[in-house]
Amino acid sequence: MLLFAAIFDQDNAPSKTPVHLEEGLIERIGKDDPTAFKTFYDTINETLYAYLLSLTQNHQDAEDLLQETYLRVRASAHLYRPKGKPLAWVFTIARNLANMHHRGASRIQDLSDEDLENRFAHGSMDAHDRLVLHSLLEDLEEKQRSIILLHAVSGFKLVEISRHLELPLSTVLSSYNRGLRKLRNHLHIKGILS
Amino acid sequence: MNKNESIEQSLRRAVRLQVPDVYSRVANQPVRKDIEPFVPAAAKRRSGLAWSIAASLMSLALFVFGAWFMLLRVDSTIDLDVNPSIEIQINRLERVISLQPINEDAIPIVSGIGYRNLRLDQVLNAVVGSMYYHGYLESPESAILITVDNNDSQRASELELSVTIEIDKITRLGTDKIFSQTVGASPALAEMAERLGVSRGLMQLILEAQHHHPQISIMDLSRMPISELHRLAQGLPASAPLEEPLEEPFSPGKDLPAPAPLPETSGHGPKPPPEPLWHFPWDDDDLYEDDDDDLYDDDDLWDD
Repeated sequence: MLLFAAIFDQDNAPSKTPVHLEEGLIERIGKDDPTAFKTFYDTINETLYAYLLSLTQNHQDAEDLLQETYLRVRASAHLYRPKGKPLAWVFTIARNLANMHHRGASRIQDLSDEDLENRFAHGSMDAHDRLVLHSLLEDLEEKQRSIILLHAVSGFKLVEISRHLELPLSTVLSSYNRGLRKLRNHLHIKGILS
Repeated sequence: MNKNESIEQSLRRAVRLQVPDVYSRVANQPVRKDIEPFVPAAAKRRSGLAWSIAASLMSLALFVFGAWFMLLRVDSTIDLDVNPSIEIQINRLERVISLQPINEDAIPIVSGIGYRNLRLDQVLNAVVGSMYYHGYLESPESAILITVDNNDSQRASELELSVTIEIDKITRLGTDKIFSQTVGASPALAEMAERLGVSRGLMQLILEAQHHHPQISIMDLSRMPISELHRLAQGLPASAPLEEPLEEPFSPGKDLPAPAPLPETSGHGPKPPPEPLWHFPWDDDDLYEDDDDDLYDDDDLWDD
């Protein structure tokens, strides 16, 4: 019962229209259609950044990889074979680049206090929101971070996340629930959440 | 709004506020089109993993093959004949794989000898000791025939020499009573030896002897002492005239397949006269006043 509730409970989903990426866009990008790329960018930018942030735990790295991902999409879009999962294809590219980045630099392990401050972009951000995001990036495992952020920021249902990340639904469900519970506990311990 | 919704709203607001706009940096930047589909690192890792597994399996297979080749595969076969006959099989490291009696008389000699994976010289020592224990090699006429089978003739010769030296060291018989030879793979020879219940080495010696003395049956030759058989195989006359046939003359067509062409021999094995490498104590031409023909051409000798 809880499982179905978690999958289909629309009230629990963020009030945002889920991202829908048309497969034809990627084919048109492969043919150097600038309009298609602009549409692609506008559709996916927020979601892709959220995903990269969950992988890198760092704004600056996420921004760098965001650029690399777009360039890689443009470079290989003409070779894309439609399989009905364009977002999964984009996420795979992003994950691949993030993995390469991790292996090359081991940035996360070497973060200094100053770097930790740079996890966030400069600018005004509500202190409470900042602490929540910091706790998510700091305290949760990668899979939990990705699933919760995609659910929160992009409005994907968990079943859609399962498809886009090519993970078993059961894994997505358990990661989401455990991640949120863990995050709640950490926020509570830190006095951020009453 | 429950706690989960509150958390997700905070996350949504925090992320949205810092989403960078990189469009201008990526939209017009020239890119080189990929020739092959972009292979995800995960797939590459899986591919690497697959290669690692394949390499590991191949290494394992090589190791197993190497172990089999070095430890379990029969590299050489050594026959020891004092009449009984014994067969020793060794691997490439000269460790004994099997020790088998070839005829019934040899069973008590080899029974109870632990041989597996022991060095050849250790097993030779045990076998020769057992031969003494069972009453062989004690008489002055005792002799031993060593036959080595290996596809590599050089390796066979080396092994033949080392076994001969080892046997001589153990028995103190003297090289004039230790005969050795090498044989090649010959199914016909093996079949004849099996049917006669002798080793292939002894069978070869018997065929050599019959080649020089066709009037003596194979069966009779098989019962002769090694030393006498060796003498005949060299084309020399028998040390004593045969007074009567030991048994009904052997008929190759009836009892055994016809003698096959003699396999090639090498090393110190029986060789045709005039230069035998081994000499019996009584190997003196003066002992024989009659020539070969006089000795064996007596028709009465073979009358039934």
